[in-house]
Amino acid sequence: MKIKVLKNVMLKNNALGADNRWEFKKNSVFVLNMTSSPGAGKTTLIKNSLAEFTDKYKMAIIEGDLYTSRDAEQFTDFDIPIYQINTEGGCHLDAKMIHAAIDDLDLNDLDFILIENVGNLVCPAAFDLGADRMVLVYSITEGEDKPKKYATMFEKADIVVINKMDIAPHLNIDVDKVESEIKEVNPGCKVLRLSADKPETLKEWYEWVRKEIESKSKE
Amino acid sequence: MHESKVAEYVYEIVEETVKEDPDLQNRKITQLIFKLSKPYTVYPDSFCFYFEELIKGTFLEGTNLEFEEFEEDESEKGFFLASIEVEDPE
Repeated sequence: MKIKVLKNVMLKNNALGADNRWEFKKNSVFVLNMTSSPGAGKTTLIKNSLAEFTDKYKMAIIEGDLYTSRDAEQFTDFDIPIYQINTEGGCHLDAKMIHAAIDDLDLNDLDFILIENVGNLVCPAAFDLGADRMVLVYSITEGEDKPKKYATMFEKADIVVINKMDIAPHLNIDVDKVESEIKEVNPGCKVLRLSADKPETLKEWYEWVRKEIESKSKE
Repeated sequence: MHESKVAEYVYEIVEETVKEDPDLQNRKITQLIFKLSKPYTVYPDSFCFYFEELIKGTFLEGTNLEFEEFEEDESEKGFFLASIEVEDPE
């Protein structure tokens, strides 16, 4: 005997993600889910973004890492709450982990949260955390072919930040081709080119973040 | 690799479904049928590996796992537990 169920398995996570989104909205907190492969430059981009934004917005970091607090330690110069999640080998953050972070942070006293996901170009795509936007930091050293090979991550991203542009001239790589591959996978996606450790290249990134925060606070 | 988490979600959904449906209680579950859409966020081979490990020694041990793709005209997107098959009553 066959019994029809038809239940979306990922709703186990995504229903909690929707709860998180509601909590963020209620408290007018703008939230970015920062994703990438390991070593693509999330932490550096976050560090410079903290330098740019901590005097303008009340910020917090939710830091995902397999085992260590190495990334979080890079943010201790900034006087902001840092919530460390160690996944103990787990390859992604899920909505339940973010829910626990929300319980610990005072959302009412925050404008802007950056979530640094675990470095991984596959798994984080499957888990809605409740963030407003998903950022994919893509290092130009990862090659021209990845947008189609790791299509789900690129499809879910709201913005792809092509990083390490300063070394692009030394690589045998066509950046326009990378960008057109991204657009083929996700036509509505915004694409920026920058070098996360060179603050002078981050103006467009800061501008995008600022506009997103302001449009959320007007909702 | 996130399929290990997805395997836990499926186990919970089956437990909850059995609890809610008297037709499923005290009957051996023989097969779980999943439906999925492209691009995959859950890979069947990887899912089976983790799920089969998870159900060892539980009421689901030995259950067959089947995967079907949604037709293009179906609106559902993602990874669904579509149906549960149980042994017919004697």
